Amino acid sequence: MKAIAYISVLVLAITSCTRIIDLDLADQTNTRLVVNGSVMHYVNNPDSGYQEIILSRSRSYFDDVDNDYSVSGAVVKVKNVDTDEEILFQESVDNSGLYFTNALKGIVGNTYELSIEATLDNELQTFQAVDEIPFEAPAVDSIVLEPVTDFLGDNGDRTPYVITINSLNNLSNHEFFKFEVYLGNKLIINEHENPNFFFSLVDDAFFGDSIREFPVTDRLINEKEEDNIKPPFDIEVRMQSINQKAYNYWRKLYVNSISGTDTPQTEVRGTVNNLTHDKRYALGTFMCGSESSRRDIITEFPTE
Amino acid sequence: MSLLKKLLILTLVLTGLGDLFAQNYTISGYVKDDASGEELIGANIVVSEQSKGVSTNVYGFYSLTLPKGKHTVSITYIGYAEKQLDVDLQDNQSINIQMVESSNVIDEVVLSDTKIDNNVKSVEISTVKIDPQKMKQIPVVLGEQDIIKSLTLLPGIATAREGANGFNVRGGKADQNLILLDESSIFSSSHLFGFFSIFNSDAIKDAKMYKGGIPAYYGGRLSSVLDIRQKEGNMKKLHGAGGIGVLSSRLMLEGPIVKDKGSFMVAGRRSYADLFLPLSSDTTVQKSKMYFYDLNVKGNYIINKNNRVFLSGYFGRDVFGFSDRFNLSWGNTNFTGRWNHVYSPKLFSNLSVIYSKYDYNFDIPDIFLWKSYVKDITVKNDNNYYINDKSTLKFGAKVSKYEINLGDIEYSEEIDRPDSLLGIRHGYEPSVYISHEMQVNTRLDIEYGLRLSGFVNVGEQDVSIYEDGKPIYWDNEIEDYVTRRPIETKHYGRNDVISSHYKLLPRLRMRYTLNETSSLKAGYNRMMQNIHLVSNATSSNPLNIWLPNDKYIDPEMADQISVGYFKNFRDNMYEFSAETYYKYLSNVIDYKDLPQLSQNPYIEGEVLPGKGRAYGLELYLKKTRGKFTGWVSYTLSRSELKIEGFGAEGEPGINKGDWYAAAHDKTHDLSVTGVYSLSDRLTVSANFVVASGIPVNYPESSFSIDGVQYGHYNGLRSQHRLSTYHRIDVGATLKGKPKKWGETEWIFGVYNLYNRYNAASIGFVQNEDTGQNQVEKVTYFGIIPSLTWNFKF
Repeated sequence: MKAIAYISVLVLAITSCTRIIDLDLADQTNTRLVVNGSVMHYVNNPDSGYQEIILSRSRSYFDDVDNDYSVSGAVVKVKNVDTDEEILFQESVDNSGLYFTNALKGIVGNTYELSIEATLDNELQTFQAVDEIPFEAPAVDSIVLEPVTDFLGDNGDRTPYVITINSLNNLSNHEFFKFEVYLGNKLIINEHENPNFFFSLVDDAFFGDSIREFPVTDRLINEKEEDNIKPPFDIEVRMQSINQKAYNYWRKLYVNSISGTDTPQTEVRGTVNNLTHDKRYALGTFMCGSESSRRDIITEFPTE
Repeated sequence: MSLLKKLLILTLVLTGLGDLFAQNYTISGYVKDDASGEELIGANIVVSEQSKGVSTNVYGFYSLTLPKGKHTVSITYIGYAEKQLDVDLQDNQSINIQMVESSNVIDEVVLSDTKIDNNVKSVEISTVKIDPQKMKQIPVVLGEQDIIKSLTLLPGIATAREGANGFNVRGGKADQNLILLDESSIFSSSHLFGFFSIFNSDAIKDAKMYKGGIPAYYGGRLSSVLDIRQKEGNMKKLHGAGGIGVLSSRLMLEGPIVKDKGSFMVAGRRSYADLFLPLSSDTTVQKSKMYFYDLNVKGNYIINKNNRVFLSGYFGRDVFGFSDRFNLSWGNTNFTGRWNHVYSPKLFSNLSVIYSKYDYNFDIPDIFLWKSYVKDITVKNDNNYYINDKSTLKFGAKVSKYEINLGDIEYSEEIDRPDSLLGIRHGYEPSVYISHEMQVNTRLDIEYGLRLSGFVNVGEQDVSIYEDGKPIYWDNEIEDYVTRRPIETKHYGRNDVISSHYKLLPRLRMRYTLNETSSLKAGYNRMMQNIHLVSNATSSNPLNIWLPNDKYIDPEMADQISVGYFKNFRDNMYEFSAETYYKYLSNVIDYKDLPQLSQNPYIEGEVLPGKGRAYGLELYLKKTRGKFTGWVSYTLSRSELKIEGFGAEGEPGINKGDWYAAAHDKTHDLSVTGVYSLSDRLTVSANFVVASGIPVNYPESSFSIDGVQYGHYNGLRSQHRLSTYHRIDVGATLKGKPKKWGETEWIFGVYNLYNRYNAASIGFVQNEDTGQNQVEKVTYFGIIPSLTWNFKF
């Protein structure tokens, strides 16, 4: 009996494991343009004409992440289809692939057309995307930081917090939102979403259109000891009203990234078409939206 | 000869009613184990001089009509000494036959038929019978004897991966298997998220799987039937058996209630890994829970020679709790009440009332309680009419009432959120069937049948009404499938019909004898499935829900044809079979990309209908006797789906509308199992398994947004495969010296002897420190030794 008990403990300890493996993945056949761009209507600063488009290149899966994949020398233009006004974006001097303008105000209900000429694989290729700013983002009334009991209790002595914002959305429309959270001026990527409750994105249909509190992210702060932030610090939440296509894009991208092979991954296609090679559409997306934001100073972590 | 006369003669021949004009009598009764009084299923009763014979039915009943006069009746059942009876038939006779177990059972193979050449002589095709008592010699994970794991060593039966919930038969999904325990449906057959089956081998008397040529008696699932019968209990005296293993311990008691009139069987099993958790220094681990248990009960009573009643039940549960943070439990509850009645020596009848339930609870204290269940209550009547020794008619009727709770989440007061109640679906599944098994001549046996099956989805229910009557559509503007939101909700009152489907399901199987040692067989079946497990993963999990047919989801249908060649060598010491099959499926369900399957009130909008096909070749060579027994099993197969969507302009369906391999598809699957008897007390055994990896998708490139690396996939499914799966298991069984009180045995096993890290899945992730892309393989079982002590008295 004693032997059986020992073996029982032993086998439970040695079964089930995760290992990093070598996998023979083919190199990518064609380099694709990656677009991370938007035209925003800024609710808090409606006169702002600042917009930015970041261009980079795709790479083979195992290529060194530290290499420079930015795309320089591209011609980036955005046209307001409703006013016929076209703006040429200026390339950032650091050749980081950032193209920007201070002269394009986002107007709710207007449609914007992005055009890009960029050289990939020694060939000049042309890209195009169209999107519309769907509706004005509601104001962010307050940011609430709440301590929570961690689901698996694996934070030791540290207390995780949930960030929720209070806002009032339109009850009669089916609306989509994307949230970005900044601590100080650093964008926080939430790595702990459950794919079926994606806290950085909200489809208000799943909240019966009656949502007043938008869950922005869970267990964001104090997740890792080295990432600990000690009050006081700035927290900023940006709430972007977006179209369903953009919502679908971001949701698929995130869910794909956290799924193993146990469920089928999907093709995630944004809005940017390749006019030179139809099948080599650009990765990333061009998104138009309206953004409201709020910045608060957290002087101390709330307690229960 | 007039047409009318020809038809009359044909009818008489087909139904065997020609016997009405001969002076024949019938012997009938039960074939039983002499020591325990247990009825033997599938025992063969043969009168060789007449070339006539029958087999006992699932209750051990037989009926054989013979000409008036003297006959020598031979009764055989594998593992038992052949018995011969001299019968002088001057009238109908009731004869119960007692069979004595052979002392030489160690030489017999684990997976066996009831007669040494049954594989060649029976009309059954694509059918396998397993003896739970003898499978203990096969080495398995942690020494937990497992009917389902043993079945996966046979052709056409596989699991998608180690630790997968359920099993796949001939390319079918795991929810396409009808699993019956004493006729009661088992909705989830696994413990510990899929690592072990719920069937305690000590409580099981008989298990039979139909992969094809499924008789009209069965219905409700597309791919297979696994019909498991629990022991009735020893009619003679109190007996027990049990074991202490690495993972669990078990105990079974059986004995007479009234000697030779009634008996009982009670069996329990519990895992006890959690008993060691308090030894941990971590308080979180100390308060955690992780165990499962089963309770099997059965009782029966012979009222008189024509009436017998049975009551049986199963209650099993898995409990998994992580400290006081969450509790998850799930399990099956099953009860069956049966009444056997012999109306006449030729007519045997059974009436069953059955209750089946699977439920789960997921509780996060102070946050929510999530509950779901599926249950059915069934009343069925089955009849065997033994027209004569060459002809048996089987007919019956069944109605099941389903109740499915799609999932309720009740939030705690602190969460301040409205409860999510997806409601209860109701449905009735009525069916009637008739089949006729007949020996056309000495070479040709045929069994044909017809089943009329239906499903009626009824209220009380609020049904969503969608624009164009479709809950999902392809939107060319956003280039994606969109789940519609209902334009209105229609209330159906209690038992109001929401939708209904009826289908005729023909069945056929036949055997043509080539010679004494070989035969050709063929089978055809059409199947209908009315409830569907909602899961888009390679294997399901305990929190998946079942979804019935409704206004938007039609029954899934399958047509399968099987053809096989069966040959025995060297006086039936070797059995060989080669079977090929083709299965066509319609209205099969798959899901749009990245579906929202959990707590979705519009779940019908995540589903896309399509078609499927599965085809393959199965080879099987078995050595049945001698010191060395075992088998080699090989399957070459393909299982594919084609989901084209609804035909809207620009609509791509899934995989751009082309065929793609199902998530559990395996091209090659080879198993070699051997058992060698070194002495009367010591037996050694080994398995070797090698199989193709299951289909997966790899990214074709990578890109970065806001510092996060993403893989890019081309949208085609099943483009790559996990690496080849293989392992060797070894085992040894050492019988103790017989003791006054009973017998003992030690079973040693090593699963995955060379510690192969077979991939259960792989993930594409970023290194936390360097940010570089990497590939992570998840393995469930490395090398696992086991030790089990069994006893019986």
